[in-house]
Amino acid sequence: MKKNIIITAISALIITAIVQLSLTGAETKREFKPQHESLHENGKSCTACHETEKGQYVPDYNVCIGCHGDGEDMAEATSELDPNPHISNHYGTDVDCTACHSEHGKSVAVCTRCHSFEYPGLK
Amino acid sequence: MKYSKFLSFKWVITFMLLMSVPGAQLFAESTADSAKWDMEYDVVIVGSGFAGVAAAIESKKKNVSTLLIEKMAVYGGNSAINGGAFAVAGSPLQKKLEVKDSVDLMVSDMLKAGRGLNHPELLKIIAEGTYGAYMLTLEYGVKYQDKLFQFGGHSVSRTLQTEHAVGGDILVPMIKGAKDLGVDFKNRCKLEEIVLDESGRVCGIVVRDRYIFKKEDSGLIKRIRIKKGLVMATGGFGADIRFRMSQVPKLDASLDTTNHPGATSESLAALLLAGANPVQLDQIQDGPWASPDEKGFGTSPQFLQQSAFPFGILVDVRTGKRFVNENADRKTRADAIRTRVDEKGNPVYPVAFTVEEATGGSPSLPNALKYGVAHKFDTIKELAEFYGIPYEGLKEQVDMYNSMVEAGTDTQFGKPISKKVLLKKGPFYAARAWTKVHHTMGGVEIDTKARVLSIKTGEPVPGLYAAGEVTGGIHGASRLGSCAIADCLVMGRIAGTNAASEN
Repeated sequence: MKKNIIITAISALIITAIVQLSLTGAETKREFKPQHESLHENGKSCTACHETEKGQYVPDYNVCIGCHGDGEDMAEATSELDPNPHISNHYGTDVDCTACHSEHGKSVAVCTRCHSFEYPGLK
Repeated sequence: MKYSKFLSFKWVITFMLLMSVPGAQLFAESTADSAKWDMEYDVVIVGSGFAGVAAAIESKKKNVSTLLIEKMAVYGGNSAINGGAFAVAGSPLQKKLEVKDSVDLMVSDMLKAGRGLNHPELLKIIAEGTYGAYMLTLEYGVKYQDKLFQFGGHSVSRTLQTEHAVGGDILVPMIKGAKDLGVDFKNRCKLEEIVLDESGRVCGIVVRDRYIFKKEDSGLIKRIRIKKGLVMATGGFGADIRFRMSQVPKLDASLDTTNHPGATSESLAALLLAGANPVQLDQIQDGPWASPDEKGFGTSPQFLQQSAFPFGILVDVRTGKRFVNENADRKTRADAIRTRVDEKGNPVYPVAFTVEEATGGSPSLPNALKYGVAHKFDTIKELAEFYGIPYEGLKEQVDMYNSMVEAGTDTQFGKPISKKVLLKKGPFYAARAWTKVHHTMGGVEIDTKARVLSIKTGEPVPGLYAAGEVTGGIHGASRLGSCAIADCLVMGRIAGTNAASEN
């Protein structure tokens, strides 16, 4: 029994090391966009947006609207765009920011799955 | 400094996790032990399209705790992007315009298009429920255009369409209404498994919360206890190329789909694994009014379905001649369009066009024109030149069509001439047509109470309900346009009411 615990502990240590090394590797490759640099201190603070230090879960809508305002505010802010990406007959103003915006990868507007709209300013 | 602290914290946590839970058991445990639930609800609805939202509203009206989960980041699935066309038998507008319609007539139209594969008792329930479902949408503030459409295969004008001709016109206010009633909504939450207790009753589900679409290891496994009923309103599998090809091999990746990318088969699989009976899974509808000049659903379905097909002609570009009743049911048209291929089997896209006065029913036309899906021409000659159609052949066809419209009978293909629209005076509006995978008529068997029936016994699986495109046998071999919203809203309401009424 005691032997088993020791074996488990040693295995766990080894796996922990492997997991952590691979995670660290992934983190260094992660892309960041300039607009949020000051917020996450160049990638040092994941919890600026994510709940956990690993940052493995997509931030909640409420995290974004804390700074940017909600869907209706955003629709007003981009009212000059045609068509306005923040309000549509398909989804109203009720869309998670992260459906289109990505901090660590390419942002792709959901509407362009079907439509040929162009948003060169999409961050 | 901060960084090193957090690294060491992560080491400790990971080490502790691995010590306490031998890895392999993390997921294997999920089904066996029903004592461990992360949350509990009376009713859980999976899917946020018309059927799911209608179910959520009816469930919450019974004063039971209700959760709706959606795997995608956005709510609504195909319902949010569809054309907002809703067939209602005996609508107030039909009465006002003196259109004679009935539940029986709607049922017989659906049966005819479905080539008799339809389960008639389900058709009856749906047609009967359209009036009430329509009134419910009005209650939530949904606005419709003040006109009726006669979609392909319908024997009378019975289709209503929302103000912007978009399903979101129905869904956005109904989702808001459901939230106001107190339904909990959770997006990025994917169903992994339906959990049955020892008696075979649904007692919960396993989900992947905080799920990122297509990242199958993303998120957190959570277990939700269900005290009353589970409503599966998970839609069809039109975007699931592997699965649709397993049913119909020719529906390969070369065919686009009008569906949103989340229209996949895993929830259907979860239902089958819980004992549901698959019905007619190989009945997969090709939408005949899609465009090869845009992706997905896009802007062409409305223009072709509501303007160019009923009030114009669809011609083979090699001859300028018609080849099908442009307002037949979808299967007839799609099958005919798919025969327009060259000797190597490559598509030769046919062209449909109409005149200005017929474009009123197509709010998407301005965008179709803006993005090159549709084109405007002053003369038939210009149109023929642009698409490379032999002018003489086309002119002959146009003249013939006009004289048939004048006479009120399409002696060529039998299209109903409901309005005298002549193809004489420009401008003309045209678009290329092709088919895209649109609707999966097959799915799990349900009864008229939306209870999922067992493949083993034919009896209901206790606590398990389904509604909408995930169910099978309603539309048979070909769903009529505007009957999906009817199906989803009516059966969704029934499923929600009955799930909430379980003991």
